[in-house]
Amino acid sequence: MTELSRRSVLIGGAFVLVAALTSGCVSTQQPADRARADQVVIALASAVTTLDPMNTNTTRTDLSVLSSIYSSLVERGPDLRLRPSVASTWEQVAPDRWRFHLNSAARFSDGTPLDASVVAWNVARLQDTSKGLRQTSNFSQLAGAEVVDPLTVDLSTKGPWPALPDALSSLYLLSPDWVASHNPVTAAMGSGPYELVSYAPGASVELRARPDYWGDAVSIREVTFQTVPSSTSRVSGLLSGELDVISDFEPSDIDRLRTDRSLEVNQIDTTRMAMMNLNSITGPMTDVRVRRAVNYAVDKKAITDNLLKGSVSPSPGQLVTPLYSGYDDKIVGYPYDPDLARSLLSEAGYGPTNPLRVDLSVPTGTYVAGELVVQAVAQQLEQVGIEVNTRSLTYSVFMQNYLKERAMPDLQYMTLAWPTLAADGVFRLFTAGNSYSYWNDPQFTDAVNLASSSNDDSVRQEALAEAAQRARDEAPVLFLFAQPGFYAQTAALEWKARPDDWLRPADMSWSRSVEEGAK
Amino acid sequence: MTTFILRRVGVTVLVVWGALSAVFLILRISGDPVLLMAPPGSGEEELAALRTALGYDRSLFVQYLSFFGDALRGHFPDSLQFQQPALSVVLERLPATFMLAGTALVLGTVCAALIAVATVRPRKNGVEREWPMSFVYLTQAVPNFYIGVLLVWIFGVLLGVLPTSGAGAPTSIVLPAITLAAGILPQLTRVFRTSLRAELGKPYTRTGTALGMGPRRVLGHAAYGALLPTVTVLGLEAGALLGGTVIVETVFSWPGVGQLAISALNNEDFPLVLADLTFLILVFVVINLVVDLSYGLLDPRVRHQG
Repeated sequence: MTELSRRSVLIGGAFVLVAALTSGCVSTQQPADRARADQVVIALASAVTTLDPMNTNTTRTDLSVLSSIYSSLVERGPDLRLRPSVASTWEQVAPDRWRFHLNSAARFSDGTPLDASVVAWNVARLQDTSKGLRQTSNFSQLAGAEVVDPLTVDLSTKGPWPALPDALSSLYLLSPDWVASHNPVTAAMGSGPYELVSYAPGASVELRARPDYWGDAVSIREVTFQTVPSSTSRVSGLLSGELDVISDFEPSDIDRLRTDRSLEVNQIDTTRMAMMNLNSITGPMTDVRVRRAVNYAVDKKAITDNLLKGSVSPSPGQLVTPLYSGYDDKIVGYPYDPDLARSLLSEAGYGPTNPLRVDLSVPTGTYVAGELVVQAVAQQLEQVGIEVNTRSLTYSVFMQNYLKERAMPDLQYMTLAWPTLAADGVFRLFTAGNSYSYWNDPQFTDAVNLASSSNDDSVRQEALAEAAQRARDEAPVLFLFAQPGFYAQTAALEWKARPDDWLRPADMSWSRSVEEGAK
Repeated sequence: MTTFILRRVGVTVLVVWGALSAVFLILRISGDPVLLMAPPGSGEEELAALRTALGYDRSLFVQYLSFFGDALRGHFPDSLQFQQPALSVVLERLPATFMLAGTALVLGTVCAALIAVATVRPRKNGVEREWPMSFVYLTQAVPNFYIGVLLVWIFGVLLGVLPTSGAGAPTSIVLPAITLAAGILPQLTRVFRTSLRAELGKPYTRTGTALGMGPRRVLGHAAYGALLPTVTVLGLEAGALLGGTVIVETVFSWPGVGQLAISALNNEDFPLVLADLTFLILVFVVINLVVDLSYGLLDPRVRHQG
């Protein structure tokens, strides 16, 4: 190597270094700049996996992004109630038949109208099992679609299915013409309030508000969904002003975020209920006295106050959270009563000389503060004389034991939610014979079956109340609390975190006063 | 030379096969991927249908053979998360990783060379400059991810001058590249510096000085002599660089194959993990092959032995 070339390499390298460092010294964009331009940057904890809305069940990432580009027949508003979207009205014309009247203004962003034939085509696409779409199994009770006239479509179900409109709120409609010439996995074109500007797999999705949107106008004009997989990076991204909305961080970050007055931290009860599933088929938990004893032995309030920073309230002995239809506010939960727990245990034949030994498992890194909660529960169980053998398992092994080997330990920490917010969805997972259930209770099972199949709302409510009371008394689980959801956002952004995981830019706006102040 | 190359390539193929077999077996014995993909409440028939559709109903040995058969033809099964051929998901992310690793490699090498030269060349008073080395020891002592978090805190949160996540802005690469470069800097600097010092003590450099060569020219010749051990370390550090991308890409949300590997593992996306690791293993092995072969170019003695 000659003197000249070696030197030029060194100088060149130094130049690159200096250039890289100085070019970086340009201030990054801040929330105030974005507020002026009606832009928002939302952090996603994991990458968007597909742009095909029928091929994903993940509300928090994929569907949240796609719900801005596509629209559904009906949608669930921020108040968790169903409201019109592509369908302006709907009614049940027969026990197994629903009629949807479409909004005549509904149009895809390429200008083609969204009419009844489009809806029928989408139902056919969903039901084509050869496509292996993830949403298909959510609609196993749907029989088919029939065009009545261009703006009216009938959906028929296999037997009565009262939850059809709920389920339809996450069925997004594609354009048949567009699908014929595009790949919906990597491109998107829908009838929603935003259109896709760019999609960088694994990195970001950028959206722009449609000028010709047929529904209610949106306030945010430009949206960036940025994938930020590390929770520490999400927190620092919000603190540095690069991100406007983050979710899913450690409870221990709450105090740090609260010290910054330009931020707003929100904790909400999600629709996901945390519990210890008890194995009522084999082992000591077959005895209802033992199941009740563990419910009395655990101080749920202490756990939510200390470990979860008071962000949620303990469950009053129910399998679903208050946001579900079928939640019963007359039911009273198990109070913390270690003495009663001890006496129930001795009634069941356990005592200091013959202590109850149980196995408990928890999947690692799956649930919010899951391992911490399990440690606390185990300690409290030990205080009433139960010897707990806790095992942390990877999620795959955990699920293998739970579902495939049918070898759930005596206790197992898990959380459950149902997308339609109908209690019978969660209840079904506890009915005798269900592959998720380790509890054979004919009374509970009959009540759930009656609730799901009945079309009479009062019969339905009564059956659900009976099932809920039965679950409270027979305690197939150790009732804990609604899993907390942690959100933080730039204080000037007006948006309320939703318990059902949806992160929709259409629900957001910049507060005008702050924006004026920023100018 | 030809036997040398053939032997190296043969060993490389064996290494790739062994590494992939290990990955395949470890992943497959840890659980049934179908259970994680099916929506809650799925019945046994739905699970069985999904298992058949994805080929998980076959015996482990058949799955193993078909995996290698497909991999040899460049076919990988579809990623479970992305529902696309796993290899194309990996290839999509590859430019980002190459760009990051390449920048870090250049940055690390240039800094290592500058520091080594600056500390080896005696000053006018005859004493070597030692202070740049304290910087090197610091980067060696502090864990890589911590340097990353520290940089995020200083330049992102406190000063607010550099983006801390994503690859959207051209400046986004600065912090991850520095973090990654900090991982390879200490080894490179120390090896280059020690070899350079040894070369400067050899008779040929003294002869050069005696013949009237300027100190810079002498240093140039010594640096060339010090290249061989440094290139060996560079090959090894390329592996560290690839491994480092897994952490650095996660901390800085850089959309490359390292971050993809983590998310694939977290989501039990077996085909994607396999495709991703196949790629990382191949790149690592090929780099080492290139390093081995480059000895022949750098050192005529190696070339003539074979």
